[in-house]
Amino acid sequence: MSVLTVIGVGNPLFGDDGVGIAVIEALRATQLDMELIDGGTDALGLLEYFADRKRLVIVDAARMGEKPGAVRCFDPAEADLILKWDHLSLHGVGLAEAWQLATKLDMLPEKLWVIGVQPGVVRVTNHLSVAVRNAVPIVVTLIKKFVRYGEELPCNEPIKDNPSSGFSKEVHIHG
Amino acid sequence: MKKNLDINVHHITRVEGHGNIIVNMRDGVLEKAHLNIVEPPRFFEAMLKGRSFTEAAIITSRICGICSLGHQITSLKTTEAALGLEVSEQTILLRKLLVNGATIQSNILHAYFLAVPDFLDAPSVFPLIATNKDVVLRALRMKRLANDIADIVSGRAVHPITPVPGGFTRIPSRDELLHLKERIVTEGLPDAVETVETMKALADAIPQFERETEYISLTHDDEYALYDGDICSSDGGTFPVEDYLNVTNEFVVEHSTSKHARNKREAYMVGALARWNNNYTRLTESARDAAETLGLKPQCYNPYMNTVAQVIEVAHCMEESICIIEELLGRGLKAEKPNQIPTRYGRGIAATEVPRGILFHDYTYDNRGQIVAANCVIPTGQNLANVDADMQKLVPEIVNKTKPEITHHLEMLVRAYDPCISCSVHILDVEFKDS
Repeated sequence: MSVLTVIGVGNPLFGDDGVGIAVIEALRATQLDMELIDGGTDALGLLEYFADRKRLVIVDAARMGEKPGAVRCFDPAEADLILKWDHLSLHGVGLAEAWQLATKLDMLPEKLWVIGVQPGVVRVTNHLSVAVRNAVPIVVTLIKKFVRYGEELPCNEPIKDNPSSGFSKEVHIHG
Repeated sequence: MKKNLDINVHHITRVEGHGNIIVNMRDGVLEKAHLNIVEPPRFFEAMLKGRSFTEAAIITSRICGICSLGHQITSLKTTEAALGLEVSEQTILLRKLLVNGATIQSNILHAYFLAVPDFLDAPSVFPLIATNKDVVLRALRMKRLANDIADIVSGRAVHPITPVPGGFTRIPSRDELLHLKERIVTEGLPDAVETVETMKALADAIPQFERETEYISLTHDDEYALYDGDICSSDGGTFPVEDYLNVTNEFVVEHSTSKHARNKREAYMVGALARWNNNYTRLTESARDAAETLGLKPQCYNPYMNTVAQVIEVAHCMEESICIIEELLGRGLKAEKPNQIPTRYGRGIAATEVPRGILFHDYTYDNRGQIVAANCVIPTGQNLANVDADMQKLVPEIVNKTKPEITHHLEMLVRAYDPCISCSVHILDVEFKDS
């Protein structure tokens, strides 16, 4: 089994929502030993990877109240993921709901991180905005350092060389 | 009682999409009752223009995370029709296996994660984990089996990579198919039976409401039509798929950003219930037995029973998948290359029964193999007028209930149609505490 599994989530036809997929493609080019998964937008499908993986990183566009392109790494247990299950349709189900379900079913991997990238432009276009495009190599470097040198992912710390990372806020830790 | 009633349920989703239920009644007279859903694929038609025939299916499969396989298969068939690409029997069988898997996956998710909480009066699936964990785990196990069908046949579950115009770039091995069949027999079929039992225990919670409408689906002489067929109307007649515009007759309505559709009446219904009404005789015997157990009878006019029809289809698709694998293995798997040499360039139209109903794609190619015009008519758009018509009959019938009860009935009605709402963007929202 690879040291690390990375799942990119999102839709490349919707601008910056596709950042997770762009990161997967950039990581594929590094040819490092890790498992890379294009998770698309089928969030409940992520559960299938949760239970039998040791270390899992999910890269997703995340509205975190930061500037577009800001990168932030966090353990979802330590952030308030906003649940939106009260929908008319399963099409509203996303990573937050999948994570909650996995938690309640005791299906989480040994270690799970989310790397969120604050989106700028989310509309029908197959391009990333400049700020988010610039964030892709930053995410790739974080993951490369983890895989190659065993460097921990910098959870809730400002990320070097990420000009958009303001860190005006701290993670709300559940009691 | 001269009742006044105002219901305005806003379900704001990620970006463009939203599904709003709006009802106004003044002095007992219903002024408004409708659903507004933005129809996402419209945005993608422009994106298809100028794309080559090898790209179209890749783009359309991204339209929706839940319906990706249905869009992809329909797109491939459309391109093949436009470019005159013949495909082999083996390709058709493998695609049928994919369509069966996708139907199982989507129907299971809808039945367990949207409908069952409604029947148990729970706000979502989360509270059910504490009380009915085995049922939730069964749902996920069935979803996983369906995903594995997609993985084995198409390379990966979410956005399949091996199905291309003209065939497959990789054929699954005999061992992979044998193993898959074994799992469907030992795991899938028993889970499908259990699902019928679960649904039976909840059947009393399905609202009793009837409104006869026109039911439109594909139909096929030899099989329960999912992969292909002619257009069939319960009001009579079958039509070639190429005549779809004469059936869908899309029109603009003031209250919705999405077009509505109508054929012989003010509205028509597509989806599992329409397929049941038009094609129930072609279901497997055990699926028909399951329907009897669940009280689903031919020509059912209760839209809430769409979920029951979906559960019946799961049983059918499990058995059908076994038959397809046996046929593939019996014929012997051949290492074919996809046929990608166009014999003509022009317009192609194709339809597939995707889980939510009949889906049409229509592309025109120029003589360089690039798309110059594209049209996609999705099931949810076709159902919108029918949902409105249901609401307009339903509200006066339940007007003596409380406002929350009426709202709940309306939401359940919308959910029964399993609508596709701005499916394409799933941005995570996170709140960090102010320091």
